[in-house]
Amino acid sequence: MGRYIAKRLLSLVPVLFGVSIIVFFLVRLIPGSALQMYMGTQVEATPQQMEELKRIFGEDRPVTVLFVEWLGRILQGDFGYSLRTGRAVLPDILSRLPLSLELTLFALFLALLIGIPQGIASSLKKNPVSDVINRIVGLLGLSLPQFWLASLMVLAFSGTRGWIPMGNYIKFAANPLRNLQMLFLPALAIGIGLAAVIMRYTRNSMLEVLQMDYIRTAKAKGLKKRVVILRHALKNAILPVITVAGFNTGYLLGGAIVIEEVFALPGMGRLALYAIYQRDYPVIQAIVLVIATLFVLVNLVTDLIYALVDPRIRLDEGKKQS
Amino acid sequence: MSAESILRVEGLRTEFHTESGLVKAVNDISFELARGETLGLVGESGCGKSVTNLSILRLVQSPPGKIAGGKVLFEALDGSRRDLLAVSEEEVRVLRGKNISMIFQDPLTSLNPVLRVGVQIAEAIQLHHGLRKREARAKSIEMMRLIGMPDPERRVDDYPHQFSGGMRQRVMIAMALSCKPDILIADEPTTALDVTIQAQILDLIKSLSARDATAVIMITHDLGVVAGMCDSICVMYAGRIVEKATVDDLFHDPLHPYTKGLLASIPRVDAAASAEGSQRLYSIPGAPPSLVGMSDCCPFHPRCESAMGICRSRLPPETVHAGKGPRSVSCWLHAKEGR
Repeated sequence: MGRYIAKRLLSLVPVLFGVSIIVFFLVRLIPGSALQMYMGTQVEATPQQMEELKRIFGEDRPVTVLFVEWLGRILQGDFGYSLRTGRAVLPDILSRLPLSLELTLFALFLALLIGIPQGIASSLKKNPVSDVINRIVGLLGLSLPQFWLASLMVLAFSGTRGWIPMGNYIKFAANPLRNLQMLFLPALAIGIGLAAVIMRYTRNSMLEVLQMDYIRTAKAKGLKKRVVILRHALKNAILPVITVAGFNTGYLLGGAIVIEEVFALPGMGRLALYAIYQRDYPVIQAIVLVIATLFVLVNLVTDLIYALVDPRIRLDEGKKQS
Repeated sequence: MSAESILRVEGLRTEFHTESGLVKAVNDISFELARGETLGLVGESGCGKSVTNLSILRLVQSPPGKIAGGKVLFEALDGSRRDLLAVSEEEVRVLRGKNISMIFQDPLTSLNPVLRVGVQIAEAIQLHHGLRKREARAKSIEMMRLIGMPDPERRVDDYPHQFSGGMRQRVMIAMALSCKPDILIADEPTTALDVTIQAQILDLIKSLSARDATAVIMITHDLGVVAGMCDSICVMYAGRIVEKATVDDLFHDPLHPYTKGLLASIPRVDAAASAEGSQRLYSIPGAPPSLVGMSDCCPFHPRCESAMGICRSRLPPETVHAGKGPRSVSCWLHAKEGR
């Protein structure tokens, strides 16, 4: 197990290197340089001042040279300074990361909480009406854009005290209950799409598993229906759901960026959004690297959970079964 | 229902609604099982053997399956008699695993891949005997030892994929017999196993059922299994029982042409050597009929070498014949009326 984890963590190196190349050159393809955005149209500067600014913004040297320099500094743990605020990039990101992570995990939790029971219920086909409703809700959850749903939520609940964070975000450590209340609607907006996906996967997987011979065995043992479904069927049916949920958790992190803006939450997503507006290259690059790292870690955790649930999977190769 | 009878199936009908029409998988089947008896249910694939037994425990998938009629009378040790098709689902559930348990054909797919075998054995014990987890675990280890599992204390925590096919089937047997059921239904328990393992598994079933005086319904297409294991036999064809007899009667004097065909299809090493040397093995001509939209005629008549006019138009009645034990046959050749 330890070897496997070490191997997977080592694979982070080439992944992050590839990501860094792509993001470094891609952000510089966005029309309008950082300097142009900084200057705007109103401010006049003397040629000497412009020279100085170009040096500060790094526009006096070739991009490849800049890339090598940047990579060198990253390897030493120096993520540079924001072109906009002049503050160090890393502390800014790390102070906002917890909120985005919390939002993502909360969204994942809600998605599982809604998706799995609904998926099970609709697979049992006891009630054709609820089955149809489930499928309609599932379809809507998939096709409604998150930002639109979020806007509707703001509209509907802005009058209700405490549910919409109006720039008065409270940290989890300060007041957990208020914090969760505030993050509930944003997390729901992010997670509802995944809830629909999870519901469908759970349903299909349950339908398949319920046909299996071992379910017949479980019934022949005289087990109660609840035990047959929860212990015997769900434990098998959940396997593909774990994969899908893990795979989509990375995308939830992306969804957080838009939703944080709609709900005015001071997370990493908002930081990224403004960094893109202002071509704040060091900030964008650092955020993308952080997200890529998280993505890889989430996939690793998914695989570990999968191996934990399915005894047939052995992560360490070469270890013979008895 | 005679005194020592424990299970009596009367006029059982199970149907499946499929896209191509109504399939009468089990069509008016009746038989009786005595306490401690081993009954063989023999027939080709798809003749309704398995469905008959799933119907007894009401485990037929519905939809598409539906038990359309008949009675399954089960007599408990205390003498109370119940029709399993008429009682509530909950009442049948309590009987499953405790009074009547099953072993299935493929032990790999019949065991849950993500649960430890010890847990799977203990489940039924915990449920039916109200034991605590630790007691049930000790009982599972005891059962595993009983079925000849080496090192049961360690293997009780293994998963099904870590066992060989034969060992998996032993686990299934341990599971089925853990609550000392009155009836064990073994649905082709050796079909998926190597020949060398088959004999061991059959011996195990035989010795354990004899020990607890468990009645066994042995479903198989292998007449060799029947000869070695069973007291009496029901031969099934196309959803019906065509002949019932004790093993001795059936093997020495088969009445139904289908039974004769089955017996003639068994390769005989001694016969082939002594007779004309390289004689071809007999096989019943044709193929089993489709069970969709069966008409009221003898289902075997298209393949029967002695078919007569009446076979094509009317269903033969069940007639009782003399033998070492109770025997009957459904064939116009042996019917006393209307020939």
